[in-house]
Amino acid sequence: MREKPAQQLVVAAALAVGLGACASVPPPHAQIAAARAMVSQAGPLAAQDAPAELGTAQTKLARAEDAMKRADYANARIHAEQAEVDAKYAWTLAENARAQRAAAAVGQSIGTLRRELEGRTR
Amino acid sequence: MRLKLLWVAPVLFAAGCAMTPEANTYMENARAAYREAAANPQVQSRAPVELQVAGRSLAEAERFLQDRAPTALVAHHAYLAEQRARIAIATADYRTAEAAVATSGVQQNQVLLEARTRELEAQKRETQLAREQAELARAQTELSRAQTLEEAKGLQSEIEELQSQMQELQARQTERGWVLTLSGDLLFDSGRAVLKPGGRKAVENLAQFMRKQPERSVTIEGFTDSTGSADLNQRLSEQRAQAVKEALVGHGIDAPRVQTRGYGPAFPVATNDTAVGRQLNRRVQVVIAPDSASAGGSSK
Repeated sequence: MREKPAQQLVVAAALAVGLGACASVPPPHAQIAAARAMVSQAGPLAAQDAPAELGTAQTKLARAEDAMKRADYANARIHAEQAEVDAKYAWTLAENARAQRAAAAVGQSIGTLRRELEGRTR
Repeated sequence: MRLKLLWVAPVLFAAGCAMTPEANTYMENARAAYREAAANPQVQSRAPVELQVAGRSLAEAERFLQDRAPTALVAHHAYLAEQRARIAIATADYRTAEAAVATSGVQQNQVLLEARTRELEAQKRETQLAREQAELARAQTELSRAQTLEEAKGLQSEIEELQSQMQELQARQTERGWVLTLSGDLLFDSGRAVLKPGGRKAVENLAQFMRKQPERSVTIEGFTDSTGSADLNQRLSEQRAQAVKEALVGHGIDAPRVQTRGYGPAFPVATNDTAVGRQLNRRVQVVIAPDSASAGGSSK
């Protein structure tokens, strides 16, 4: 069964025509907005813990915006979608690193606390 | 590097459609990533939604592949699917770590609480111990006070008892102690030293008293009037004292508690010139010592 989301049909159509820019491909404003939002969210957190992944996302967003300026909506959309997913990945990696550090710190402090208390009661 | 290939992808779009083996490679990567995520129990429990999203992405990419979409498009969707699978895994990791932090926080509080509880219990025990010691000291003080009071009360009642007994015996208090005077005519026939029935009652009373006051001793003193020979009177008075003692012993009184003396006509209490006076002089005195120490003399 051939089932494709509506937008994909449009892109596929654009490809089939072999065009990078076509009047029938709508500008991917939503995708660009989503990518921008995700890159901003990830920025502060991922800068330290996932810089490579963040860099990838930022570069792809820039490419998406360039493509928008050229009205190359097909490529703009693709870059934007990838930028969003890359930014999300970067953010998740950074959250993970932060949580691991916190878990380690608390575990250590409990260990210290226990030792202290046992020393006191003896 | 995968990334470089995907930078090329947009150019491929412009170049038009073509199905190449590379599409399968991208798909393989995506499938592998998804399998990894799906097999991870942490992902299943902590990031089920993210896993679903990754699964749908992969399915979408598979559809593009099956529908023979251009490689670049397939590659793009495969990339999205792969990244989403990796996001699911990383999300599960981070939620696990967060849960561990929360648990640790709880643990930390528990440890602190435990310590505090132990401290409080130790304090409570100390306080309890101090209180018990104070109670004990208080009880001991009260006990000794009560004992002293008891003793005082005991002595008091002893004194009262004695006084009433003396009253019963009609004894007089002198510097020698209590003195009971018994009429000689009541106790003995003239010139005889055998106790008459009339005297037995008096001796019974005396015996009863002595039983009630087991620590007391008595001295039985015999006296006569001046009629007749002094020597005979002396011997008679001694024999009469002895007779009273024997009667007391007969009532169960220990012999050592009873001393006897005879004084004959000495120490008259009345004149010997009148019959009445002489009768008064004919007497037996029972001296009840203040305590168990008796005044000299041997018992006969």
